[in-house]
This record gives sequence, C-alpha cells and structure tokens, in this order.
Amino acid sequence: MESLTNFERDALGHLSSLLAVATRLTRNSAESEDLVQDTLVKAMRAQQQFEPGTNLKAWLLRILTNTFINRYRRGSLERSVVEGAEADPLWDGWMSTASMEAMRDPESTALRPMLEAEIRNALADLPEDFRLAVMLADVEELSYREISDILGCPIGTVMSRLHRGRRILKMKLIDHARELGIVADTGTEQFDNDSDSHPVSLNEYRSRKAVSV
Amino acid sequence: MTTCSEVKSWVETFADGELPLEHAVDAECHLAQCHCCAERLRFERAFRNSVRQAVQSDSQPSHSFEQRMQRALIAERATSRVYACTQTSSTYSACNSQQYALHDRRQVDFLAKTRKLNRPVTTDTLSSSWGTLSWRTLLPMAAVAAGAILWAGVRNQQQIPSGLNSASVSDLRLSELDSYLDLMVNSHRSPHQQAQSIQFSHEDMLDPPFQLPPFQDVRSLGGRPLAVHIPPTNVWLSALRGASSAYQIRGHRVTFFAYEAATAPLRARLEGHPLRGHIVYVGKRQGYSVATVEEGPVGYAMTSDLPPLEGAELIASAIDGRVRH
Repeated sequence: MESLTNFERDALGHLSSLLAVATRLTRNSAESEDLVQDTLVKAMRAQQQFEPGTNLKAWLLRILTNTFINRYRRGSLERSVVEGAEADPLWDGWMSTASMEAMRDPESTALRPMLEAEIRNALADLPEDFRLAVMLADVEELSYREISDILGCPIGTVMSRLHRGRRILKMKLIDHARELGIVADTGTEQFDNDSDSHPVSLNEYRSRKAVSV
Repeated sequence: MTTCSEVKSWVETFADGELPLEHAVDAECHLAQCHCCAERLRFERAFRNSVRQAVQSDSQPSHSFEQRMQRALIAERATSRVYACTQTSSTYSACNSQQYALHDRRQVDFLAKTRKLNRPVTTDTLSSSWGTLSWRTLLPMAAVAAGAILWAGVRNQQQIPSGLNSASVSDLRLSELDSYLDLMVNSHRSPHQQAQSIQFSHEDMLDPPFQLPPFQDVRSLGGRPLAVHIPPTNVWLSALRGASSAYQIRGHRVTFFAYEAATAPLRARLEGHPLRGHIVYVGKRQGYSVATVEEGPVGYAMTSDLPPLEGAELIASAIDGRVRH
C-alpha cells in the first residue's frame, strides 16, 4: 500500500477516538464508520487550516461533530430537556464513604464487565449534548476550552452539561450497584446541606439529623 | 478555612484539572486532611476511568476498518491530484488527450498504484481480490442488485428514448462529471439528508420513481431469504436524471443508481476494466468506491464502502443476473 504522509499517519492515530465518539453519536456501527471516513476526508482537504502544535485530536473531533450536526441535525445538537427525578439534585446529597469505595473499585467484586455494560447503556440513554460533553471530557480527556470550541458553546455551558450528564450517569450506576449489592440501600441518604462537614458515619449522620429536628 | 461544602462544589472541576489555582491550593490542603472529601475525589477519578474503559473496550477499530481508512485517505490524496488536473484542463476534449482520459487507455490508476500493480487489472486479479467479502455476503447483495437493476432497466428502456440528450461527451466539462460523481457519493453517504431532500424535478424523464423490486423477485433470482434492511430512500437525483436506492446489507451500505449515461458518461472519469463480457468502470470518490456499467443510454452504478474491485464484481454480477433473467 502507498505510504502515508505524516498528517495522514497522525490522523489515523486518533482513529479509535473518532470511532468511539462517532459510535456514541450515531448509535449505528455502519453509520459511525462512514462518519469517521467523512471526517478524515474533510480533514485531508482542510489540513492546511490545522495549526501544528495544537491538539490534532480535538481538531478532528470538531470536524466530526460538525459533520454529524450538519448531516443529521441540520442545525444544532438536539436540546436536552431533563425533567422529573433526573432533574432533582439527588447527587448533591451525601453518599457514604464505604459506598463510594465499593463503587469505585468494582474490579475487586468481579462485577466490572457488568458495570461497564451498564455504563455504556447509561451513556447511550443520555441526552445527546450531555453524552457528547461526557465523551469528550471523560473518554477523550479534552480540556473545557477544547470542548467549548468543539461544541461551539461557552465554557460555563460545557461545565453545566458535564455536571448534569455525569450526575445522571452516577445515579443510574448507583441504582445498578444497589441491585448488584455493591452498595447498600442506605448508601445515599440525603445530607443536610447546611452543615459544614460530612458525618464520618451513618450513625453520626442520623444523630445529627435527630438533633436538628 | 476551606469547608467540605466548598470542596464538594469544586471536586468535579478539580478532578478535571480545571480548578483555578487559587482554589486548587485550598482544595489540596483540605483533601490532605479530610478522608471523606478525598474519597469523593477518588470516586470522581474512578468514575472517569470507568467511563473511559467502558467506552474504549467497546470501540476499538477493526483491522479491516483501519485499512479502509488508509485507502480512503490515499484515494482522497489521489483525487486531489485529479482535481488539480481538472483546473488546468477545463474540457473533456482537452483532458482527453492527457493522462486522465481513462476510458480507452487502460492505464494504471491509483487503484493499481495502491495495490502496487504495474499492469492493467484483469479478471484474474479481480478474482483474487476477494479477501474481505465472502460469497455468502455477495450472493444476496448481487441478487438484490440484479433485481433492482432489472426493474430500473425495464423502466428506463421504456421511458428514455435513445438520443434523448444531444449533448456530446466532448462538450461536457470534466468538472460536471466530477460533480455528478460527487453527487452520487453524497447521496450514498448521507441517506438521512437524502431522504429529506427528495426532488421530483425530472419525473417526466423516469416515471414512476425508481422502486425496489418485489421481494419475491429477489428470491427468484437465486438469492436466499435476505437479512437485509432496506431503508425507504428511493430518491431522484435531479441533476443526474436518475434514481437511486440504498440498502444496508450485513454492515455494508450500498447504493444503486440508474442514470442517463447518454447525458452523463461517467465512464470518462473512471477506469475501465473488462469483466465477464462487460466493461466495468471503477474509481474512488471521497474514499468511497464507485462502479458503473454503461450499456446504451442507461448507466447502472453503485457506491459503497467496499473496495473498488469488489464493487466492480458486484455490479457485473448484477448485470449478469439481469441478462440471465
């Protein structure tokens, strides 16, 4: 096969990132592959516009996102309307240290594959602009500024989408973890937001609530 | 004194590495002393790792996809060179004498270059190129293609008189043919957009619009019951005076076209290969393969993500199916 140019080789180095984001956007493997191909071809044509030294992955993802928007949305990403229980600030409540330890270390419980499947499902269910923000931040590890450039919105909006998207994900994962017995049902007691410090145990939390009543 | 409440509101941004320095120092100090907040930070980081691992373990590109992307980039580079030629030779007749007149010269094109072949591609080389698509996949695809083309051929022969358009090939600018090919590829790669922009400006030329063959006809052509998804994208290509129909078969999207070859001799921009008594014209556009057979006033083309030579085999099989039928 004909040899690749440096630019082509560098671009292909980000293939898995492009495919990951495209798959989460299109939810269809054939379409995601076409979207990646479209992105790479456009990048080839516009490679003079790329500034060496800047983040090539972010630049490619920007092309990919714009291509997706133009092709499927004809305007902008669908606006997310989150209502009901998911809009409640449940995650702002307190989660026990033990529960967080159990949640963050699923490997030790041999439940990691199930958790990963649940994460993928929860991610797929996220509203599109939340999903994209979480993908770009948590999977592709881009900065707020880079995500802001890609999504064409202020940094504050990026932070808001990230926070809300992650919160929905975490809530679903907590529910799943409860079902699997990773965390106890009592693990997400609501914390008194007026207090300055977290209780160190559930008992202390309960006694504090009793005093405040 | 930094409180847990403050740190709690910062911890997400802190885990992202985006907390402003003046707060980051306070947060660090607090986290060093507060087990609960430190655990919250560890959880935030673990959450990000879990999301990343969950996505990455599910999104690794296959080797064949990587190769497809390499071919797409190389083909795009080659196309750019062709466009550069087009800018300096504006008419077909002018360019016909140059290296990009592909119809009769059988010269080595970029396909051969990418395959490191220094000779014309023949039936033998075509038959050896079936590494990525099995006959199990090909057979139903060919059957569907044959059915679609059979139907379109009957309709077109009834509706399009010969000499419909008096424009001669030599009067056409190469860029027009390029734009037709781009139009085909755009139709192929954007089925959603296509479905939203149906135009009936040439319904007098082909009537009724291109339609899918009845499913039973497909089976009668030798295909077995097909696991195919057929999206409703029967569309007019207004500029090309033709029609298309898109299919998704086992992960490959394929779009078939019937068009007026007399008006738009796309073969002039593609490379001809003899194959089973037909001349199949193949090429690459924007990374997608185009293969067409132009016999008489009607051309039958297909675009896909298949390698060009496999596309050539498919369209030739479809034409053969039409003849046998």
